[in-house]
Amino acid sequence: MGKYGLKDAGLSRGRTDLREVAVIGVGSTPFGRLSGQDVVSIAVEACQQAMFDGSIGLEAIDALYLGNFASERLSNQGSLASVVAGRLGITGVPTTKVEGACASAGIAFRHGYLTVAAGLHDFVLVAGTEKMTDASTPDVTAALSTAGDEILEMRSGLTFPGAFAMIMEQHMANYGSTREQIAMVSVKNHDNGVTNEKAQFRKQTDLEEVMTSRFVAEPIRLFDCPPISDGAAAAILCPLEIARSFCDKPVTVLGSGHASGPAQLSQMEDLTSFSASVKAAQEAYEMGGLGASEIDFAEVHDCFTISEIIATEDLGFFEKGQGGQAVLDGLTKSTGEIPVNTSGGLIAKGHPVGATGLAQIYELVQQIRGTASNQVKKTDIGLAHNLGGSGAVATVHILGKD
Amino acid sequence: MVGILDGYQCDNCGTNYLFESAICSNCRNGAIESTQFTGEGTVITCTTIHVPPERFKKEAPYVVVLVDLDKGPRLIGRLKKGDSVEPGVRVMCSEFDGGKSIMVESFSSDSL
Repeated sequence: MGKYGLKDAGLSRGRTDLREVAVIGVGSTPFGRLSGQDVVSIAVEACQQAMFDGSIGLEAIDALYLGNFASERLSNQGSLASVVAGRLGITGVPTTKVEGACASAGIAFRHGYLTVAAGLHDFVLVAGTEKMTDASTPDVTAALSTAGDEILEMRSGLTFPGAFAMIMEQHMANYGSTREQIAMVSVKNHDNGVTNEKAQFRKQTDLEEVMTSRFVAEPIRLFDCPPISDGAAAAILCPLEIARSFCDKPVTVLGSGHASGPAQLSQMEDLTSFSASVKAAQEAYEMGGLGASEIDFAEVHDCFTISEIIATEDLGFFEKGQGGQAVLDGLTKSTGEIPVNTSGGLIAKGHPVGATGLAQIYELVQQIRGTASNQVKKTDIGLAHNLGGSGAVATVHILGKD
Repeated sequence: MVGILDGYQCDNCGTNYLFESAICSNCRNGAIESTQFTGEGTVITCTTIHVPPERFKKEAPYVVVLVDLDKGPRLIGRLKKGDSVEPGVRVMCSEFDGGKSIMVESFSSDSL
C-alpha cells in the first residue's frame, strides 16, 4: 500500500452497492480442429448459442467483451471485437477485445461482470475465441511464447512448456511429488473428456501412455499438455433481479477475483505457487463470503498437468505440496471429494487459449443447472480458475445456484 | 572467462534487476542505477526443450537454465551446446549474439 492508501482517504475496498449479477445464457462450439471456419465465425456461433440459451434478442445487448490472445498473429485479424459485433448484428454497442494470454476470456468475463455489477449495463455479452489449428506447431509455439517476457526470457529460448517443466521439476524436488501423481491429472482429465460432446479428446488414456509419450520440454511430455485447438465460448450476464423475472434457473456470480503476478519465471519468489492465483482467489472468496471448503467442484487452468496440481493448492483445496497425492487418491475425480475439471479440462477438452476462460464458465453453468454431460452429484457452488502465462495474470470466479 | 551482464540496482535497498525499472518493487524507491553483474551463479533448475519456437528450430533440442547469480538477480539463459548441468551446479553466464540472448556455460566446459 502506498503512502496515501484507500483507508487514509476514507474509502474502503469492500463495495456494498454493487448489483448482484447472474449468468442467464451460455454457448460453446465444439473444441478441436474446426475446418472451414475462422476465428470470427466460431465466436459468432458461440454468441448466438448463448443468446438463444438466455432467450435474449440482439437488441438487448448493451456491450461485448471478447477474449482473444493471438488473432492478429494466427488469423491476420485485428479489430476483432468490432468485427465479431458486426457479424452478430450488434454494431453500435461498445466492443472491447480483452487480451491476457490464456486468461483472456476470464478477464473478459470479469469486465462484463464489473459493468453489470456497477450498473453501467444490463445485458452484456462476454465471449472468447481462438483459431489455432491453421498454423504450424512452431508458429503456434512462437505465438504462445509472446505471452512471456521477450527481452528477459523468451529471447534466450524459453517456451511455455519449458517454463512449466522447470516449475514441475521444482514441485517434485520441494514436495516429493512423483511423476506418477502428476501424470494422473492427464488420466483423470481424459476420463472426464469421454462424455463431453464438446471435447477434442474423447478417449481414455493410462499412466503408461502419459509417461512414455514423447518429451516436449523435460520432464513435460506430450500427454502432460493440452492440444492445439480451435474453439469459442460465450455467456450473457445481467442483474440477478431481472434474471429472476424471465429465467427459471439463473446462475449467480458469487465472487470475482482478478490479479496480476510476475510475467517472468526469474521474478517468481516461489516457482511452485502463482501469486496471481492466490490473490484472485482471495478476492473472490472474500466477495462471496466463502472459503475453499465450501466449493463443491471446480474448473481449473490445467495448461499442463502440474498446473492443475498447483492450482488446487493455490486455491486452498489442498495443503501446499499435497495436490499430487490428492490426485492419486482420487479426491479430484468426478466421484471424489472435490471434482476438478469435469469437462476434461484444457488437456482433454482442448485449449483454444482465448476461449478457455469462458469454456470453464460454460461447464460451471451446466453443472449448476444439472445438465452437464459429466454431471456430478453436488454442484451448488463451482469455481473457475483461469491463468495467463506462467502466472502473469489470473482470474477466479465463483458461481452458484440462485 | 568471466561473463559480464548489464543490469540495474536500487540505490536504496540494493535489489538487483536485469531490466530498467521505474520503481524498486522491493522498497518502492524511485532511484535505480545502471550497473554490471559478474556472470557466476548456481543453477536453480533447467529443462531440455524438444519442441522449439520457429527461431530456435535449428538448435533443438537445447537446454534452458534458471540461474541464481552470486551477486545479481535470477535469470533465464540458454546452455552452451554440448554442456550439461543439473540443479545446484556452478555456471557462468554472459551476453552473446549482440546482447540478444544470455548464454550459460558450465564450469567444466573447455572454453572456461
